[in-house]
Amino acid sequence: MSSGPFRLPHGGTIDRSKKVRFRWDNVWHTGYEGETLASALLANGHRIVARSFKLHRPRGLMAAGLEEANALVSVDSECGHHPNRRATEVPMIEGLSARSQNAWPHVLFDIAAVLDLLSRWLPSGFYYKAFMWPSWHTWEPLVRKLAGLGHSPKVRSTATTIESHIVTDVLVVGGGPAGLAAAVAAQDAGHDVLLIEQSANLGGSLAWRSVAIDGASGPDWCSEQVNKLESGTAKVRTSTQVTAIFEGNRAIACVQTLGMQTQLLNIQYNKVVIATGATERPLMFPNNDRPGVFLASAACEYAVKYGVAIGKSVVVVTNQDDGWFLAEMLERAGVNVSQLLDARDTVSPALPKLKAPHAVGVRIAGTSGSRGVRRIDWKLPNGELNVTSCDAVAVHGGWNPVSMLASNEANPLEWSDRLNALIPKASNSGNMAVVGGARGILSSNAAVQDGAEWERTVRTTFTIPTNSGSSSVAINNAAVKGQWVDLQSDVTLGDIDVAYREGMSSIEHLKRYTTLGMAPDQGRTSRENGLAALSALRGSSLREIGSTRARPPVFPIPLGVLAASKVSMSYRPIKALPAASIHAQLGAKFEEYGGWLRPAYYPQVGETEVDAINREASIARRGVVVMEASPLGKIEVIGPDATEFLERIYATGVATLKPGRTRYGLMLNDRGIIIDDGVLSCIDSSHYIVGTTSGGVSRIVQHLEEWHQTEWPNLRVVIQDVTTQWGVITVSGPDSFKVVQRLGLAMDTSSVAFPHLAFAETNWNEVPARIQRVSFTGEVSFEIMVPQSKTEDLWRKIWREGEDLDIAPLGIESLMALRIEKGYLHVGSDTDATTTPDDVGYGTPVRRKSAITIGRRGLDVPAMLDAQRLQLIGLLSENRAVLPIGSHILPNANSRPPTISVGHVTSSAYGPALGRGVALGMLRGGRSRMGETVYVWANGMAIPATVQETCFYDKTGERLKYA
Amino acid sequence: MHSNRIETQTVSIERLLPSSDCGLFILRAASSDYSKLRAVIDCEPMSRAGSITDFDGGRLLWTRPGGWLAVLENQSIAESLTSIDRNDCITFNVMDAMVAYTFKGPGALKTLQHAGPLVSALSAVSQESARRCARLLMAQVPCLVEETANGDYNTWIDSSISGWWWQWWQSQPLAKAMTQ
Repeated sequence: MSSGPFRLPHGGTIDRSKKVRFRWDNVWHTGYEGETLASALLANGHRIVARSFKLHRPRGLMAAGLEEANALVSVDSECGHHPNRRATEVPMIEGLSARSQNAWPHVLFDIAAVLDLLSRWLPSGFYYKAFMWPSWHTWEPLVRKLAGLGHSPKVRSTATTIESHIVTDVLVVGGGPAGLAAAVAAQDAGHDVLLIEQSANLGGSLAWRSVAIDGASGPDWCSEQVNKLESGTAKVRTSTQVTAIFEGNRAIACVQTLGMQTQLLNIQYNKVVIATGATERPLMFPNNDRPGVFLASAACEYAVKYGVAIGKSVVVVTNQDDGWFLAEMLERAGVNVSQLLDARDTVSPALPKLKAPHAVGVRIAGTSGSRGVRRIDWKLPNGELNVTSCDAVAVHGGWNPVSMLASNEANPLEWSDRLNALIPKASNSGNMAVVGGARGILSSNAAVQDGAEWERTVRTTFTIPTNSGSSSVAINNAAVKGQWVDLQSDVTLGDIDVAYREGMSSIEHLKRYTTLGMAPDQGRTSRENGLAALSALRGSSLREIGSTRARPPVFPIPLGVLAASKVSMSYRPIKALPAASIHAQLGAKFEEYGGWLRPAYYPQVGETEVDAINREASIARRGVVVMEASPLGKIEVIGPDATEFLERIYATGVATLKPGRTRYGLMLNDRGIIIDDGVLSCIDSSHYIVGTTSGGVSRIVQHLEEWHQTEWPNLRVVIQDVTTQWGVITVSGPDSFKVVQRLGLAMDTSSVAFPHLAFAETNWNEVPARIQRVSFTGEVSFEIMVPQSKTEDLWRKIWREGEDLDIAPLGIESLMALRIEKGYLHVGSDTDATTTPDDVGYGTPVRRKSAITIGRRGLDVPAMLDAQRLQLIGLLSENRAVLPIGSHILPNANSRPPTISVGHVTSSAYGPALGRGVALGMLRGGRSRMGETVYVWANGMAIPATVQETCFYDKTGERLKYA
Repeated sequence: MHSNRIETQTVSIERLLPSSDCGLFILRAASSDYSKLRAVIDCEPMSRAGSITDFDGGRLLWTRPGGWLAVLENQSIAESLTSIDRNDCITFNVMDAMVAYTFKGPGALKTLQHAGPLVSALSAVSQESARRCARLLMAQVPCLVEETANGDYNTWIDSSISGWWWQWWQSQPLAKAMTQ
């Protein structure tokens, strides 16, 4: 099998003894180890490898590196499907399978290419104007089908990402001449150096440029520098992309492969050297997007590095001296250059003498060819039209410094008139150096010198080097159709003209209106030409036009790589209960609540979830249940000023709380919004235990610390979270006291000695214990705290002592049913980020409190006093059904969605005592609507429900007492 | 229950099991006068961020201004510490609230770097300390990492999260990375 009709007979750094087979659009081809998919496709004669995003125009390769704007392909590997990979970055491996995308049925014959015929009706910003009639939704399915590139993987990738953290003194980004010189110089100066290069090989353009450095050839000089680094202390990483630089001297890099393992690197550095080089600027002329039109440097790289000719007959088009040197390089590599066309009227006599004929003062009239370039039409200054047959065009319009990373930390870019390009102007951190091509120094030797002196250029403001290269930006008449500025987003000079005439005179507006420089290209090949086009239209200088800002990530990264190991069970930390193994033995169905894995319910054989919850809740109402409540927050506040501190923290009263008592309390933020609730237990006036919701512990510790440290540092208190030191078992139900009295606690637990809301420190089984009478079920309840390691022992003891009373475990869902029936508030379910104490019926105790507390003033702003605020109410559905949580309340019986919602159901369950569905909800002006019938929209029906007080069960609290 | 040891060619991770005569306390000194604390541990508690104070019978790991994790090796010191007047030093028993894993071997630091920027965190600690400790997120979990005298690392985390954390280290990609 041949390795392709465009493979040169010799040359290139590929290993011609190692052929590999690969599949492109289900057809097998041959390439060589060491090359890329792009070079192999080119060698095999594939002109059209993609379709453009919007108009589905046929597109071929145009570059050889990350600036490739067209050849985004899908690759299948052992670990899954990889859409939108640049063919220029896909290494050739045996059995590689790649496909074109954004085309149907085939990239060579794409039905959607009809859009190109309709392009006159699809100008820039068309999506803001079109699809309005009869409705956007009429068009939406079609637009969605056509939008996007590639397909998301259908199954999860089996590849894994290893995240790692690296610390280095000097980070050098870019392994070209300047980067290598900088890394060696930094190493010689005793720095700890990390050099990162995006491609597989170091040396950058030295791999294909004919240049001598320090008397050695480019490749030899490169090898010498690599040897110095490898034998020294520096660390070198290739095939690694630095994709973001952040303030605080941090960078993110990733190693994307098609294999089973990718890497995400978090890098901390002291200084960073940006040596990202420069990429070539395309030229604009009619049909400059036709397959076969390449960047000239890419043509050289394909020829010299991979031994591939971009065509059998190549025309070089340029407006720069460098275009001539690149043409000479092509000729030396064995590529047939048939013509060189220079847009300038005069050229230097010192330019290389080419074998090919040349013409100057040329204007390109266009290219022709149905499936790729077949000829180029050009005009001489006197208007004479000439036609040159060719199958490839290599264009060179100058160089664009790759400045994206340099501008990541919000560093400004500045237009250099001398270079005619944007270069970094300053570094906000002051720890950055920009060297070589990235700041416009284009000669390899000058770049090497600049890199070696990197430390001199670490500063906050950069100067434009005097030895920079120069380019010019040529803008043709925008009225001539088909001159493509952004090949990836299908933006033409005409589109920019339309956008400007429609008022988009700012480059930021123009970018968003036309999509110029968006998507994976990020302006690599289009930014400077787009700026120049706008400059010409506005009649203002390019310096005045400014630039858009490159934001991270500079290179596309699959979301899965960013997620790294944070997937599946590793998504986020999950806490385990101390007695988790017991719950598992009892057959608990575990679910996550506030970061803890807790039993939701304990189904018995043949029971559904609803059956189990109803059974457990019913036992709690008539017998005794046991549940683990270890996650409940326990924050100790100790110190002479503890009472004063907590009086300011709680919206409800604290000063009157006596030792040995607990009290329910609310905490507000400074706007008066409820942030947490729980019980406060008083050991003595200088020692309290702040109880919080299970998921709110860390947040409340932070809240207390912030107020203490920033507002009241004079108060002598110490705040310490001891939640996980203590395991908590709750025993609840009418018979619960019988079980507790059998436990052997070193205290009197009779109803008189230990009434509701009492707290005591005691001992159990020779370990310290804390016990309090608080209830979230509406029944007599005891919360018993023991050192966490004794939690299982306590559970087993309770279980043994309750067996004759038919004790049962209680899950969280069952607990919720009980507390809803009792009308107890659950912060986070019944409240949201707008709920105040007034809204949930706690306005009176909060307002009655005389001491100044956090959030109190916020309750007096007019909006908080509006009688039509959402207020917590009880709801009883008239058909006895359980109302779905989240259902909206309709404004009246006849209204149907879409309509205004006047409230919603916040909590709902089957009430075990009432034997019917009970719910809590927020209703506008709810407390003034008691007894009214409202309509809850659920499952396509308006369900009538009666507005009630929130407490459905034991309104007098008799069930909290025992004899 | 999970096993208590992971071992590769370059690193071993092992859970430190508490013995009955160990003590683990959070110490919070209410003022900058540490005289009562000094009297118990018979040396000056180091107040520099990230410092470790070694004393006969245990060590103090700095956790915050005026705050340490006291790792005690005998019960008598624990009793002495808890008997200090709470106006001078407050002790919180966290024996059940925290667990430690030790990372040993030449690949220990590199392995830990997969979980968080430990080198950066330790670098921020004054070089005057012979050994250092640092608080940071390791694999999304708040962690106090301690350099040991023989170059190993002890990682102290909340006991409720230890099962998840252990599973994280046992996850297939990390296990593979640890061998490299």
